[in-house]
Amino acid sequence: MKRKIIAVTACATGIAHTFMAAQALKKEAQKKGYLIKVETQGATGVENELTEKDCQIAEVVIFAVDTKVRNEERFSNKKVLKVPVAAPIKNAEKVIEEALALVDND
Amino acid sequence: MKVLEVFNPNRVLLNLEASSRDEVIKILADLLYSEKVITNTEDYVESVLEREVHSTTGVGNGIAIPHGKSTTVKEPAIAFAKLSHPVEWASLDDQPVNIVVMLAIPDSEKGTTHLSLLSEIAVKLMEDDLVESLENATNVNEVVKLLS
Repeated sequence: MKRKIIAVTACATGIAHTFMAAQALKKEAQKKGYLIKVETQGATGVENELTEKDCQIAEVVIFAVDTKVRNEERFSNKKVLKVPVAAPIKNAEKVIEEALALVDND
Repeated sequence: MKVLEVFNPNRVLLNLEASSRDEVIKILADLLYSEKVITNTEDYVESVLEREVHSTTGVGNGIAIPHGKSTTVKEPAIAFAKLSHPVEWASLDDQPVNIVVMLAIPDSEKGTTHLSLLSEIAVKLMEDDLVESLENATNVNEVVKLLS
């Protein structure tokens, strides 16, 4: 079974880091053979929005954010790893492994 | 070629001689002023430096993407500099920076298509191959083409 991760990225300006963090997470997940869907909450609005079904399927949620997550209640019953938006840009592997450890060490 | 609406060869500096992060930001701000993208260099530079205080825009791999959001910005735009000597930028990977892509963002919500272009260019900078091509680029048209 492939690991299933969902993530939300958001930064203060909503132009650069939001999308770079999303890209970093997707690249790393692809490299590892994990399934990932990343919602970006940027200056131009929410893109690739996570649905109720996405939230059900996912094992774990990553918030890579420097701002408040919009519609956070969607994730109320999920394990969430919250990191600064810069964290996946710096080291996406570490962020993803930490997120999976949240469920694996349960 | 939509990218040309926010970026063009006039907004590219190669072999820029600068000794510090702040000097690079000032020089690129002056460039955006001469391009009539911003109407007040000081206000814009202040917004860029404020953003750096919040957290560094040195994203690693020798790249920095300083950005200012200000009422002095008339339209979303990009200015690019490749430095002769890397400068300190407190980057995420602790390495100095030699490629700077500065974003100018208007304070209003208008022009969302152009804002998306800025985001697309930022994402491109995550690709190692593209960064390598930028490192090797020797003329301004090449740089514009690579980011288009």
